[in-house]
Amino acid sequence: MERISIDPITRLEGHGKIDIFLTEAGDVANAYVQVPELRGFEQFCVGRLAEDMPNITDRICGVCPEAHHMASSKALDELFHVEPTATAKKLRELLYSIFFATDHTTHFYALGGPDFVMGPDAPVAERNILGVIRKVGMDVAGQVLKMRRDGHHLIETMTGRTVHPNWGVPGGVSKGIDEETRREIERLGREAIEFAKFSIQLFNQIVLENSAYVDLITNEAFIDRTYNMGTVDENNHVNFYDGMIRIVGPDGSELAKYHPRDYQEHIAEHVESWSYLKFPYLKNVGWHGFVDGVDSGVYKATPLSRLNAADGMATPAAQAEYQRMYETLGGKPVDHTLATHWARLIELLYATERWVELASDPEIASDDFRVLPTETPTEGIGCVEAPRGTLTHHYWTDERGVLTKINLIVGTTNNNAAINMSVKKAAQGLIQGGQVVTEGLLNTIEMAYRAYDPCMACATHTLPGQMPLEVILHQPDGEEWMRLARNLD
Amino acid sequence: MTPNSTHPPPTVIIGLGNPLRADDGVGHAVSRLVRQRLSGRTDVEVMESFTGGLRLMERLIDRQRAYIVDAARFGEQAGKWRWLDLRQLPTLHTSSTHDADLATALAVGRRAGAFLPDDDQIHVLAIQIADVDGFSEELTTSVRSAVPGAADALLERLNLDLGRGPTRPQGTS
Repeated sequence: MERISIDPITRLEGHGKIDIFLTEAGDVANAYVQVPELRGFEQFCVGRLAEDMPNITDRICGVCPEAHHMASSKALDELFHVEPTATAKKLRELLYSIFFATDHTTHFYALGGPDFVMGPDAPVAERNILGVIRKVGMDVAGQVLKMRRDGHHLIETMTGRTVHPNWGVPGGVSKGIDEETRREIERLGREAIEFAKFSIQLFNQIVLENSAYVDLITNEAFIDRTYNMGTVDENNHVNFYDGMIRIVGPDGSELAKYHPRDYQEHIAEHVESWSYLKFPYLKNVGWHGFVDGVDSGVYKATPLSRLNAADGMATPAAQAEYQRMYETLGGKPVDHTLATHWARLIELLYATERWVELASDPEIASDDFRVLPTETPTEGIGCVEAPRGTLTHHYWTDERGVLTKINLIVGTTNNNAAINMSVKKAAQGLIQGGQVVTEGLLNTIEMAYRAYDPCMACATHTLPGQMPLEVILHQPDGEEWMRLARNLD
Repeated sequence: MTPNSTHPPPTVIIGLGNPLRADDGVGHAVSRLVRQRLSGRTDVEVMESFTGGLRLMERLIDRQRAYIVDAARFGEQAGKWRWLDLRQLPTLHTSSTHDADLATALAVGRRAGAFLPDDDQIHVLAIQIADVDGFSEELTTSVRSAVPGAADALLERLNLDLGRGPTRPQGTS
């Protein structure tokens, strides 16, 4: 068996590596996404005060601290048996919507977007945000930066800090907003809606009007028919901050809908000897290997999964785009991995609309933003939709509120099995009969991985690494046959 | 392009890294010490940051000069430090794999019309680390002992660049 190694994955948070094993005939036998694990975070937290967790867990990585902060804050609500006020919930969701809009913007323009905007065969030097700017016009750079700066400015205004906010507390938040701030948030939110609409228009022009890209999205090599997970509100519409977890099957039917605190009744974790990272699966379906279909418990928790798991979007413009995507791609569910980028833009639009909805609510400027906890802490589970998937924090404490155990299931971990399957399928479709591997071909395989926006810093608690790309081809006897490299000193 | 009329202090010092990740917190440790030593200075702002790429670039907007202190692996003894320029990046954090490396991010910012320091006014103090493989709020001994010297080096470079006299080491009169 030959082996092709792509190490590490470019433009991803953390250090990943893909091993592709070939048969004697030069076809793909298996593909494994390897990530180094850095264990010990859970143990690091044990013995600390639970109320410190929102400010500890958000330091796992710098990419989505707000997601950990929010899940942790919600876990503390339950741990201390306290229900936040309506204003507190709205403030949290408002902040979270602003964060989501900022994060999805960054992904589309800097990480996932270049694959499409520049094309998978574009030179590496051009397949980045600068290439996007050159291709779509200089103005977009200013718009992207404005979107990010507005988001960071508002998060700082609301919490006091742009990164790692010291804000979420059991029973609410530590700081409210005044009427002047509310008006500013609303004004910038309306501008953000226009930016989101512009981004979708850009996707329409560059991707959807290009038949080659549409063929790529709908290529069977990029389709995995797994279960889909997402948080929904009382109308089964997508919600990032709160709701029930809904699981929808490859046939579009609902398998389960449960409160996040019941996750252990529905999710189990499979272990593979070759990976440090666990493989969550649906307990009631079972683990049957890295296969898709209704009989496999493998599920995805991505922007596309959230749309598949819901009946629609809760805001009008996002709902219209939601309908257009499903009409274009043949109805629900959509299993095209690369359509995740499209779903992410629809979520961007939803986040900006929800941002304005919440900022327009006069109650959000109330000073009734916290309920002080009075009960003895015990156990708490908090769950939000992180940009990369459903994020669950689970804490246990003694009667003093000192942590005795914690468990985290982060967005990327949910998708671990599906990521491996997507990479294998993409490789099988693109490496056949010993076809010579080119850089464009390898990047196309990477695209299947990148669509998940995986954050290995969270999933394995590792750190961003260097970004060289090395390809090693091995003969069937394991001997090195060819070594290709880029960005290596 | 000139800085924004409400621009912040023209010089910024940024300690980069994750202080929960053992030696990865060395950038923060140095910047905290430097902040103490620069107490009262209004022409220099000292801050801590966790990420590179676009987020780091955004912290340089409207500055004329920047000093970034970051953990690095360049194959020397733990605690050794060296100055790098943009052509020699990345260290551990200046290249965020989630968005863009610092050089690309700076190019994006300039194309967007942001005022940013010239490349030759961005200096990176890279400190060789021993351990970032676990979670700890403590630096390893060799890296911890290098913090005062790295802070001295940064202040010496800063004062040289700004044409000022030496800054007194902490604890001396």
